[in-house]
Amino acid sequence: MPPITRPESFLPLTPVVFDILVTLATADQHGYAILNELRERTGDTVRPGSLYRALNRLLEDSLIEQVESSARSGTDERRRCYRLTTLGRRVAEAETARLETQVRSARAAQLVSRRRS
Amino acid sequence: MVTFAYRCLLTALPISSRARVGEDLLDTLVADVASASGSAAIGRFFANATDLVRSGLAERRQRRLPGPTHTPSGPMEPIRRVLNDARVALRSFAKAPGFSAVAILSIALGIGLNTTIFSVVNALLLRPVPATDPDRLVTIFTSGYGNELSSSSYPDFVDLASSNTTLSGLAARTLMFAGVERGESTAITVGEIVSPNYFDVLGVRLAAGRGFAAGTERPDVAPTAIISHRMWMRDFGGHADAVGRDLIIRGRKYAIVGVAPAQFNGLAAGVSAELWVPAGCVDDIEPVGMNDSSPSPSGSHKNERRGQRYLMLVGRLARGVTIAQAQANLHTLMAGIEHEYPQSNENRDAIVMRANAVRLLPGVDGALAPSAAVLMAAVGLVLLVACSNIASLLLARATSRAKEMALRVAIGATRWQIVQQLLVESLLLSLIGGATGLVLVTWLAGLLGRIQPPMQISIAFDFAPDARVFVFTFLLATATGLLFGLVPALKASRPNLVPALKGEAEFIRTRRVTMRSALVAGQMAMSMVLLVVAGLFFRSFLAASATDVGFDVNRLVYAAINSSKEFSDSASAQRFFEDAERRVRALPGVVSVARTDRLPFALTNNTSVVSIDGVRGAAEDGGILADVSNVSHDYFATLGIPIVAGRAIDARDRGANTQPVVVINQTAARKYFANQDPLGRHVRVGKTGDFIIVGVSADHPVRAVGEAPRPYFQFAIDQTQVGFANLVIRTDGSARDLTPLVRRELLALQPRMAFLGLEPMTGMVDATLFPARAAMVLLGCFGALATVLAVVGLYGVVSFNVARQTRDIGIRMALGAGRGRVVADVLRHSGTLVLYGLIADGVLAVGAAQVLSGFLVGVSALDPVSYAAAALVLAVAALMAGVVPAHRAATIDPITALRRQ
Repeated sequence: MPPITRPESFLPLTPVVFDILVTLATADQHGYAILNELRERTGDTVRPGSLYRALNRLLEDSLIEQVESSARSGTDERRRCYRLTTLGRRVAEAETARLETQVRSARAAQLVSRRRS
Repeated sequence: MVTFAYRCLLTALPISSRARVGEDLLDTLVADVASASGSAAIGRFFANATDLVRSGLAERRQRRLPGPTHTPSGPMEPIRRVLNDARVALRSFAKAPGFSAVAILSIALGIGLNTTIFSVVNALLLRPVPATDPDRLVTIFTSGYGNELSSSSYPDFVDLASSNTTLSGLAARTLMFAGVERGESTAITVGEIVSPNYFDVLGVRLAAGRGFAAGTERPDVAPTAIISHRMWMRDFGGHADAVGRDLIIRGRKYAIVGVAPAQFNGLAAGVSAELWVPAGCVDDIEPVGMNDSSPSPSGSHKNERRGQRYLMLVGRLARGVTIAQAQANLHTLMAGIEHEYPQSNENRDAIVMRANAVRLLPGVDGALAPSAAVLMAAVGLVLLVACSNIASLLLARATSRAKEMALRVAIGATRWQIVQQLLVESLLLSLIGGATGLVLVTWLAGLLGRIQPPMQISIAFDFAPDARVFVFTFLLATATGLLFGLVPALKASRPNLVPALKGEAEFIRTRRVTMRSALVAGQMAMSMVLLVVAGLFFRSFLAASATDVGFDVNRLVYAAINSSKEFSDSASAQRFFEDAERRVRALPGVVSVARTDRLPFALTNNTSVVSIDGVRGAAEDGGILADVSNVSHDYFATLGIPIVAGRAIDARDRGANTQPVVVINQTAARKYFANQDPLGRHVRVGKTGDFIIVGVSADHPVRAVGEAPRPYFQFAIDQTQVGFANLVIRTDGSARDLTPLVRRELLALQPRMAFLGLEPMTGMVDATLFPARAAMVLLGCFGALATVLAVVGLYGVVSFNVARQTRDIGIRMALGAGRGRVVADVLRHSGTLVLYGLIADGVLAVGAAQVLSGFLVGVSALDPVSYAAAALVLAVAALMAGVVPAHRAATIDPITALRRQ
């Protein structure tokens, strides 16, 4: 029985870490897929080294876990997928709540992007 | 290609991350590059590579892990690796027992010798004062004439102790010899006369008993004593009831009131005191050491006379007080005492020094330090020779292990790992050798401690190794291991892979042989230095022994008697000596008998301040600080010292109403009366005594054989009252045979008499030659040891070479080379090495000898005989080292040699 960790203790998350958690929230993904999705979604040029450093960190903190992916793609038996743990999900939710609060405050302060409106 | 590059770069990641996500990451990296094309792929490859290394290093920094590694990491990892290396090393030692034994023994000898000498130096010069918080202890001297550091008197001590404001305690002490009676015999025991607070000031807790009560320093209080732990164990079996029992000293009972702790040997460096008595007993027990007497206006008892300075003072600084403050405080007090007692304390001041900075006496320390340095340098050279031997052995071993090293490099060991492995091996060797050496030290130090300098009193020396010695040994062993291990390790870690793996290593040895030859040449040079030094000391000793001491010592016997302790009053002493002279003169062969309070070469260096009209000396009031003695009539005739002018002291010079006379020696006459006639001139001692010069005696050494002549004033013993006398007897037979007869006659007069010395006079001369003899023997041993080690090294190199050239020699012999030619070649090889050594040595030895010239008597530092002898010894030794290999070379059978390989 691992010690109960409060999700709030991980906050705030770095943008890359938050993005990874969001990416994994819908489905388990392998590394290359996460890389591509991040690039697509954020338009940033995330590099594999940085990505895996973040993944490694998340593994150590038990926010994600490694699972065998054979059932899912069937193409590459060796490749492992990353899955969000319960703790990871709660951390992502907590971060989302935190960001929402921040965004609400920003809107209240009339900080709304003019271009979009 | 891309995969390989990335795989290499993956090592930037910490090992744990690499294990977890490494393969995954590699796939992603490769796929990422593959998904692009053309120049975009190349750009992406480099961008990914940079990012990979950067994040890997960032992660490492975060975890504070060391650089790339191939084994599991952890904080204990370096230790684990060293332990592993040590295990491998031990296995390899076990596999080569011959090599290990030779190496360990060489180191044990070298380190053992160094540590032994160091433990003596430590005992004499380095060991801190045996007290709690010794840094707060100070030694306080009274300044004497000419700013000499001198001892202090008891009244001055009492005044300083009671009035000072800067010391938390002040104690007084001096070394003494006490005749402790055990059954029928009397044993002269070394101890200290101390003030009752001595142990308290030092902060030394007694092992048993309560110690001296206050007031026991007064002469009228029943005498008490504290004994050493050693005496407690030896004479009282360590029983608690020893406290309360009595010691008999000079027929008086001393109640034992305490036992000193086991480690406490008193404050005299290097000497183990066995007994402590309070200052009140000073009239019963003779203090030895510095005794500075100047006239005291009052006081019948030694402790009441301010001019009787026989005590050394040791004080403990109060908390927060500096030496300078204590000095200022005591200076003020001494000025007050001087004002009140000008006659005894004129120009006397107190000088405060840190107790740990003064070992024996500042002057003596200064003389000891260079001797210690010479000895340490000599044993250091022996160690260097031993180190060279082991370095040479290791180099040879490295050659035979070339294949092993090449294999390890081939399968991925880094050079550093191999160097580390080899260094661990050599360190282990030297530490094992050092430990073996320590066993040797305990034995040698015990042996040295038992050496009795030819004095008639047994002194226990205290050279036992302490923690400082062990640290010294450990550091020495470590340094030694690094010294002889580094070069072979660096060489061995760079094997020439292909030939080494093919087993052809012996064809690439040329440079290593050169290295070993250089080592041997160095060894030869160092051995030569030691041999030259040993030779110089030997010649110096011979020269000193052959020195004309100014009179014939071979037919003299002396008996040293402390008459003030043996006899209750001067009348009975007078009676004893008259009877003694009469009885001894009646013995067969006795020519004449005389009395003196000081014999030439005796340890009592009595000096007095004398004044001569018209002569200004170095002492503050214009007096001359000179060596003095008191002698009876017949003294000059008995010793055989010629009188060159005037007359000797004779039968006229006795009795209270005669004119006090003095005989001066030639040096004094020359120095103080250059062109005038000294006869009839007056000499004053202190402010009262007035003596007329009646004769001039021939010069002879006064303190030690071989010294430069010094002025000497000889007074008539029957006109001066002295409490100490030596009988000196001349015989026309054998002095050795006469000695027991003299003892029998004297004991018949005074049963239980304790002699401070009773032996042929040659014993006294030998005693002064003891340091020279000890130096000669020690350095001779070092030189011999170094030579043996160097010859072993030479033999190793030469025979190794012969073995290596077996095939060459076989070919040459097959082509018609004669045996003589082959032998000559081998000998030439060893001869060349020795020659290089000798040339290198020329400079070294001359330099060393210059340093030593101060120690040498009657022989030049460039004495050609010593150099030639040393060179000859080495040449013969080298020849011997070359003979066996040469013989082996000459008996090589060409057929067998050629068939090999």
